[in-house]
Amino acid sequence: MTGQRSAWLLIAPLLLVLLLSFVVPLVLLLPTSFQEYQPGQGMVAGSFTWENYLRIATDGYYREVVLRTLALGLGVTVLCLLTGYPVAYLIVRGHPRWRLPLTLLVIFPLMLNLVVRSFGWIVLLTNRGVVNNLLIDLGLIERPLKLMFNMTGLLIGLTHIYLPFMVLMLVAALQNVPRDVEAAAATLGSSRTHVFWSVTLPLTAPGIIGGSILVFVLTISALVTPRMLGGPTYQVMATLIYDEYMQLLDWPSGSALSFALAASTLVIIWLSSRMTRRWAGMA
Amino acid sequence: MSNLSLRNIVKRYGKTEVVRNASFQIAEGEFVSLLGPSGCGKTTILRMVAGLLEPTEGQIMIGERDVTRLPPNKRNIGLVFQSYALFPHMTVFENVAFGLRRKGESGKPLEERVNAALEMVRLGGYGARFPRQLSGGQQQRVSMARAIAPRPSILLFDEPLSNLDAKLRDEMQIELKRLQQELRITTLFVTHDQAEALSLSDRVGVMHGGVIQQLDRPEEIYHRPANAFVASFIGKPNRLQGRIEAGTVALGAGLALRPERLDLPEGSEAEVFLRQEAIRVLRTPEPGALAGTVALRAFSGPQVQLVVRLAHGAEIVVEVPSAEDTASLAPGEPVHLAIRPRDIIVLPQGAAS
Repeated sequence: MTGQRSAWLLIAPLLLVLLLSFVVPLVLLLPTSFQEYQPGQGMVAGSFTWENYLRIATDGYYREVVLRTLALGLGVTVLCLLTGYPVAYLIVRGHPRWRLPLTLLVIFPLMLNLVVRSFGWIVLLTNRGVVNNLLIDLGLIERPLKLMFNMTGLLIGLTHIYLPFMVLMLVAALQNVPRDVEAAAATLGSSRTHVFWSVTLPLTAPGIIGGSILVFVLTISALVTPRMLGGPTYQVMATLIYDEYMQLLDWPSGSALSFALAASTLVIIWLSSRMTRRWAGMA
Repeated sequence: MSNLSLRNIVKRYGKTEVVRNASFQIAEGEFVSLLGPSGCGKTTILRMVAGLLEPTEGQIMIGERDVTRLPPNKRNIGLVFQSYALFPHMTVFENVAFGLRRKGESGKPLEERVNAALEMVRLGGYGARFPRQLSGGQQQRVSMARAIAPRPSILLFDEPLSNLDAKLRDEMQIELKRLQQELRITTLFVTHDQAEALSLSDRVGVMHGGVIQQLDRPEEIYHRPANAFVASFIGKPNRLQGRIEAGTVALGAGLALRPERLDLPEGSEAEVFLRQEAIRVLRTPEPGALAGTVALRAFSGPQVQLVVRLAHGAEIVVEVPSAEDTASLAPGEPVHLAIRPRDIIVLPQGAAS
């Protein structure tokens, strides 16, 4: 057992880095988010307003972007979970010979630069891209499907990017499920499907929740991929924040959006950790 | 409840044979243990009976049913694991109810049967707890309750007491014996602990190298081992070399033992097994006793162990109750060792060991 003093010492380096590079800038940003912005002039010094926050909830355009971002986060998380679980299951429970190649296959996308990967998806998904050309040549469709600058494109691109995180979390969770416990359920009259639903799945709940939080948070804060696959008009919160800062120079608005994003992330993490506790009956 | 029979069971992994042609029957209500060192194939046999492994060859019958290729959930068995293998996300009640629910039990009857099972392992009132809130011994009792609640036709135990400390193990052993007497369920018990196997079982199968060396009543296994492996594995035997001469086993330097039974031909080489606890230590000579000197003495509470060097140089370890007068013998003192003819186990030299 380490004492409280040594515990603090152990996390001190990380705490220091977080404090200097994350907490301090965030706190500095807080006053900005309550300042007034005059187009053409910039921030009005000494002003105080709730306007920047109210606009996020009331303005139709902002609201649409926020809801779109949350929907995207949810969609990517669900897709990653549904496609990732079978892969993770295969890695852990499949033939040991397949474990390394499969794991490498899952990790491989992480070795490519984000921009390169997004360009790759553009090549595949544009109106005259590989996918559409193939489908037209096969005679399955007459006009190209709209696969980019909309939800479809973002879902495909982001699921591809964040799938490894989900799979790795699920692999760790599945490895922690004792085979004896599953065997015990089987000897008690449980079919393979029932063993999965009643034992394996609940016991991997921590991994499912952990992976989901990770993918959700990464998705709603992703900037590069939504910008490239969504274009300048199909905005999500991250791209909108970027534009507010860099294009419109509306720092107060951008800051307010940033805080709204951070707040929703925290709420979601809190809710899911409560859910884990109830679902898995442990932790 | 029904009997269990294995017919010519073979399990191979590639070229290694883990179980070689195992055949035996467990009668209805009988308690049979498989005993052996780790890697002898005993757990493999148990897992094949449970349906967690498929035999390469052979047939497994539960009652009149051929279950060889059936999955575990179709076999109506109860299995108690070394690791307890409780469902950590379910309460004790739900753990025990799991098998009953699979059989379509629900409502009041379910509740009654779960509580009866918990009562049987003396854990009544623990239903609402989670496994992690229980001690190791309690968890193992829950796991037993879970296995017996659906009234399986066969009960299987895979080293159930190995994870418990010595004191708890003794308590659980008594618990198990009591439970087994109440239920009389056909039981296959796998262990590497001979005291456990001998005290619990109607019959014990001693395994080595994938082969069942001897399957017999505990008394037979102990007093009349079938071969050198069983003789050396059970109890704490001394092993001496000798030659059959005129109805005795000559050890050399004029020392000889006269066993009750001697099936070996005159002049053949033999091995003699003498259990530490079957040797009487005397201060004065007696006809047939072996003369020697005490070489070492070790006190361990209830027992004193004496290492005695015989006249021809071989050493024998003898156990003496520490209350005995001879327990105070010191190194260098002369002693005489008397062994009853029926306790002298003679086996041919060089047999499987």
